[in-house]
Amino acid sequence: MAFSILYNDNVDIDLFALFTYVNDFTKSLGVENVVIDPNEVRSILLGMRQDFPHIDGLEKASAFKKVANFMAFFISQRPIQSTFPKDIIGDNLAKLVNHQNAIVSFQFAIDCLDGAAIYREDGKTITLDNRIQISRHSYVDIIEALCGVTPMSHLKILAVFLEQLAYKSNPDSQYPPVDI
Amino acid sequence: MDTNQSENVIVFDNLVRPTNVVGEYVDLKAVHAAEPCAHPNAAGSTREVKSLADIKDCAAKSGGRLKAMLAT
Repeated sequence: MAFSILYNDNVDIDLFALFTYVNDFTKSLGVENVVIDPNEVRSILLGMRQDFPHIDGLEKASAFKKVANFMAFFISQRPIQSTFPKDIIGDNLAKLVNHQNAIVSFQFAIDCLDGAAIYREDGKTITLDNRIQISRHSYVDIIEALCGVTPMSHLKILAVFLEQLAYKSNPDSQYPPVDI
Repeated sequence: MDTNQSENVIVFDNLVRPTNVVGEYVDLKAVHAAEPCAHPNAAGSTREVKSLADIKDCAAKSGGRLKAMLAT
């Protein structure tokens, strides 16, 4: 039986999914012995559901808003305590405070949106078939911008940012754009 | 850890629980949630997977992609 990678009814499913992701992502990246606070992770997964900041509630929120809310909680609560070595991520990223939580949550967000669904009001379901792509140069700028994200100040712009990144790779998934 | 489930135990072999406080103590503050997004939208859901093995697979590929990009 399939389940969502995030925002399952049972928070423990999200917890296992997230630990599995962080474990295997960091291992593949080459970062060893990642220090992560499991209590903080559980707090993030509970907090991001509570009073979900959308007029129609969590169930009717877009995938972009759901993922952005996760990112904002994850980055601001900083569950990963160990920094990533500069010989793996480079000097420019390594010197950024909280780079580890920005890197992991952004990558998780990209994977959450790779294949995400949009349920249009006309009954059509649109799947984001194409993965978000960005240049190396933009990546460093994005991680720098993400390091200080908080839910209260940045959720909305973060949701729009993720949406536009996804639409860049999936132009047919958006409402028709026009010159403004 | 091998996230292959064996005897109902899941091990995360690259994750370590903190044993002491890193950094400085600060006053505890609640995370303030954002004001609700007022504009309705098409509902959506994140990617679906069939098992933790699918998550392991996409995580490993993501780590590999990022490692390759950062090495350039």
